[in-house]
Amino acid sequence: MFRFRRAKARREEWASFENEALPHRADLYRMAKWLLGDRDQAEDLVQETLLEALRSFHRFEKGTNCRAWLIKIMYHTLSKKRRSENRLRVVSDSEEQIAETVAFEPPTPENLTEQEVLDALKSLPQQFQEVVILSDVEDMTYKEIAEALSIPTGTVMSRLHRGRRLLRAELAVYANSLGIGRRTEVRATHAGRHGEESDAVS
Amino acid sequence: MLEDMERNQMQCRDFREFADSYLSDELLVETNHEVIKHLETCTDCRRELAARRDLRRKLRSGFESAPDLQLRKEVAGTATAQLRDVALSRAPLSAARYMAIAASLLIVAALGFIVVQQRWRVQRSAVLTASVVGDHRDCALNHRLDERPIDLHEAGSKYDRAYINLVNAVMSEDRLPAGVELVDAHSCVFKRRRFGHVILKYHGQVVSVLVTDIEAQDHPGSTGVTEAIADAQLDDFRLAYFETRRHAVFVVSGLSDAENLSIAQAIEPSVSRHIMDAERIADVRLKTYSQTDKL
Repeated sequence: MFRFRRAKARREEWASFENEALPHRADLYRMAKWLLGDRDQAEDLVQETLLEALRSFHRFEKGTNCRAWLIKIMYHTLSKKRRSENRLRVVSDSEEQIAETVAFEPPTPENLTEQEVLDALKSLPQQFQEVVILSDVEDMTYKEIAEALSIPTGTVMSRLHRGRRLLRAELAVYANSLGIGRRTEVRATHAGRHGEESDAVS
Repeated sequence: MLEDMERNQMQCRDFREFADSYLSDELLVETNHEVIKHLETCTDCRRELAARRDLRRKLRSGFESAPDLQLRKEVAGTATAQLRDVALSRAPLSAARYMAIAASLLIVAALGFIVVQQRWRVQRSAVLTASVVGDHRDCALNHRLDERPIDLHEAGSKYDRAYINLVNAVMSEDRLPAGVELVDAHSCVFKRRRFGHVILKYHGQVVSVLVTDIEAQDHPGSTGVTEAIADAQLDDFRLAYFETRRHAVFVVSGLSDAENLSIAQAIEPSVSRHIMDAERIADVRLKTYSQTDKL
């Protein structure tokens, strides 16, 4: 009798996991692939994340953001992997400083393609890319991002602010080079990802 | 006029700081109202807001549709099957925990029972061996018992059937070391414990073979099979003993370990057999009496 009850409970938990968590697998994979760049590594990371989520699914609070919960697990799994592989990535001061050098707030360019926007995002330091994706693509709140990345909410806010500003600056430079920038007199001093300075005038 | 323009410029700069938080719905209600108020009057900021909203839409759409960011369907299928296997076959943690707790409790209970039993046996043995040594000393060596010993046959009839023919059981074995002599046989009492007492002499030393009843309830786990012979030392005397279901048999002397033990080993088969026969007869009689009483 006890065995039947246990089997039934397992089936119910799996059904619940299938409904709540598995639909977010594609989102997890996109995020993993974006972060790691390698298809196999990304697939492994997603599967490890889902296995971990399955093991601790009883801790998931029904009615809360399951995607945010899964992304949090994925970041923790990734962090553990990097620690075990001794590849912990340390954010350098110079990367933080790059964002500070954007002195002028250019108008957001229009008429750009999705691919051009993604390319611009890719050119940002990774810690800015991830907060922008988590907020603007995955719709996570500052608090959820802070929990996923294990950083203070204030750091999330400042990284988001700098990341978005950098993205707009990057896009403005690109749009101006194509002659499709906004007809606003702007002068942006922007230090790119590799530290070179460029002036953009539209 | 100029002051108004400057105020408007400031508001636009503020708006650009707040615009993204406004789109993310992360602003305080008051700030949100100020942003909306500003947007109602500022065309440039409305356009900027629309551009930022469009940037987000493109970012999301581009991210979701980028061909190199799509999960392969066959991988998804295999991964789901693997997850399902894990989900449906794994034992819930709580059940495993319960099992572990139950196992631990069983082990603790079993250990506790063994410890209590051992302690009880040690205490009982200590009292019993002290009586045995006391009887050997006061009866066989010093002849100063308070109560006068009685004949074994009489004691067998009155108290314990195992005492009847005990001498024959002790002396019948050919395995007894050469030179063992029978000195006396009787039933005596030391500190309210009754013994069947056969006194021997070997190499100039007095040897006591003492048989005493140990209550059935004091003997848990016994199967009626004679227990192994064990020996110990107390007050310069050597003791060797063995047990049956309801009796303990001691050999006590001032001999060496090996000599004392050799006597115990020699008498053990016939004495055990004799006592167990007596116990069986007593059991049958007890059963018969109880049936007669019922009738």
